[in-house]
Amino acid sequence: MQNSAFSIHFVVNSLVTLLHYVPITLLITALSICLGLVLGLFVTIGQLVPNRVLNGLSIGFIALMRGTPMLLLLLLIYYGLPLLLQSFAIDISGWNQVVFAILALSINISAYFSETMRSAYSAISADQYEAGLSVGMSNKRIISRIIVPQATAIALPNIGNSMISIIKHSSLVYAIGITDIYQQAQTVASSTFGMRQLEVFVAVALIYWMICILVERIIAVIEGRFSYLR
Amino acid sequence: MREGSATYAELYADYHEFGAIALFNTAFFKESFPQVLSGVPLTLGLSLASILAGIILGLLIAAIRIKNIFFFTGVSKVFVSFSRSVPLIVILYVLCYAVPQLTSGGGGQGQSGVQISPNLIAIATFGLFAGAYLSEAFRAAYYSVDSGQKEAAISVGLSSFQTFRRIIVPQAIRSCLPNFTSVFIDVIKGTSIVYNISIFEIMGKANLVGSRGYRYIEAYSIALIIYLVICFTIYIIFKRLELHLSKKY
Amino acid sequence: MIKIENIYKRFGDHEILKGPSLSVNDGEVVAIIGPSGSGKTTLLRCINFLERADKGKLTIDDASVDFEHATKKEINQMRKQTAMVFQSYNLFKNKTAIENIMEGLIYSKKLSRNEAFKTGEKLLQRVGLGEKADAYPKQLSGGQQQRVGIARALALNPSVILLDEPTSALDPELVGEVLNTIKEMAREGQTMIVVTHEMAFAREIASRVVFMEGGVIVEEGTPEEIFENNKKERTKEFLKRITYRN
Repeated sequence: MQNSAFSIHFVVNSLVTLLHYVPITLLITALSICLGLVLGLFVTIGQLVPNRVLNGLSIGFIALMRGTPMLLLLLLIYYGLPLLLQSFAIDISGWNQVVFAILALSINISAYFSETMRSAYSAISADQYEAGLSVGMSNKRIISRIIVPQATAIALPNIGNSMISIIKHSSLVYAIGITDIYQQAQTVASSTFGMRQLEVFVAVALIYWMICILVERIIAVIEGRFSYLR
Repeated sequence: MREGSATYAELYADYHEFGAIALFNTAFFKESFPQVLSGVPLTLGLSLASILAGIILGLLIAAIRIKNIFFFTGVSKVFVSFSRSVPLIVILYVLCYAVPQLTSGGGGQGQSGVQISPNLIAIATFGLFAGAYLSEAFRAAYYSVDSGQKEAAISVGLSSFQTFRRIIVPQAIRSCLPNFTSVFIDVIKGTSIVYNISIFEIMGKANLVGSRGYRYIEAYSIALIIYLVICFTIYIIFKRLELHLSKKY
Repeated sequence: MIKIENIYKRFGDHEILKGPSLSVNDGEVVAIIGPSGSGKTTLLRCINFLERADKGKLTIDDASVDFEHATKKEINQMRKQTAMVFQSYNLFKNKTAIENIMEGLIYSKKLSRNEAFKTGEKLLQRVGLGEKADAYPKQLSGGQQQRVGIARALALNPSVILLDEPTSALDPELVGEVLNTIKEMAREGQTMIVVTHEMAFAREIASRVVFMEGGVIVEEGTPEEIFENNKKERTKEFLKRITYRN
């Protein structure tokens, strides 16, 4: 039994234990990103179509998400959604908590994705669109072959930041009973009888850091593919 | 953890027990509002202290990186990367146990060593978070000031310090306002996790209130409204400031 | 009196100034013309040390510095005798027109706020922008901004005003007002070195025209000598290209 105030040995031990829970964190994160992108696209479209009601709803939704703490949103959806759907006679009492987690995370991040997409789209000058028309391209083709590639290049850094945000927010799922890296760390920490808690959390921090660095690198590589547009 | 342990079945049973399926108890809502509201000063106080700490830290790091001071630039980069990658709640717990454990000499049961007040831990956590993000915002703002401004200042004879203070800083401040507002709002939202270390701000109070009779939805709705009002107000204030400045420059 | 002797400047592998020398007497207006890359702007920017020349000597009135060994104090001293008008105006964006003029006066020339204000007002009137004293650069047109820039340079009462392509960034219809202001300054005897593309302007106000190409001075002389009776082939070539464009 070591009697030092800090044991690197224990940090490594914890790392090994906690790594088992990385898949669940990654699963929740990855699915939330995908769903978030899809939802975000809808919100962006809602903001851009010439329909006052949709515009208002989209803007309102974004404002709502930007003012709500993630933890609160998670809890509200976990407790509120079942009851809300109950009044429409839909029973989701059997759903796994992970579903709620993914729902909450993706709804929240869709607002940020939407803003990113919208500003990237607006940043592409109308000239590009006009040039497409003048060489005889159809609307759909202009958007897919000219606008979207350029908008993606612009949006990538922000999308990367949002992804990192989700990874961090995923740690909050402890609140609805899911055991991910963070929650497992809590369990391990309390089992050390107050002696090695710091090491456990340092280990958790390192794991998150590594995951985020990995994501940043991947985004950088993708950005590189788009560098011909700069 | 209170929240996670309430399964849906228990909730459902509770409502069913009262005969009517009360989706939302407005009486409870109204009655509990002041109680949750009482957490606001703490939320605001923590947020303010944290953002101030963050500004100081952010300025320091930005200065180090702009001036490129040999060893410290690397340290700063690592620090910023770490602070932006680790979830707030993890940072909270790292800082929570850091000082007590490191000063305990290994012998104790976690109660020995120097104890730090939870408020201080919270401010340190969000200060670190804000500092890391603000340092990037400040750096970007500094570089966004047109280099011609510096050349003009040289030409009219202003010293480096005068140039910085009178020409660069005002323009940089205007440039970094949007980012600053985001970070500020993120800090306010971030404080929602500190009930974990026994600080009873808005979220903590909401949990307390909600745990009485499992009225979590009402309690969290109150919290939601309060957070929305606070965040929206901050947003409007800074938006006004931005508008005011952009009329001039 | 300004004298540059054998100035050399290199950027990486590329030597952009290859030892030209230039003398400007009090009251003279020297126009430097030439293709881009000729080093004319670099030469100008070396005079007020916005670029640091590698070799050569600079003399302004009684003071001399060696470019290679100039100390910070010497550089500041030299800068105090010059003022620059920039191609992109470079007005302080967060200061009003009059504050732009006052900045240097208060913090560099150590004038009182009051005196600086009076000087500023006078100069703004002189360039025709008396009513725009409280306007921010954002609220002014390019031509107006440049005129404030000129007033700002004048306020410092320098031995020489350096103008770096003062009208290149302006819309054509705004060029005239700026050129007129510069002409006024010339008439009042202000020593100036102007790097410009505006040949007609150079012809009208310059007491001497200098043609630079490839980092050296190819030919210099009075406007008539350069524009009509030029001796060097390269000068002819350059002017032909310019006039063809016009």
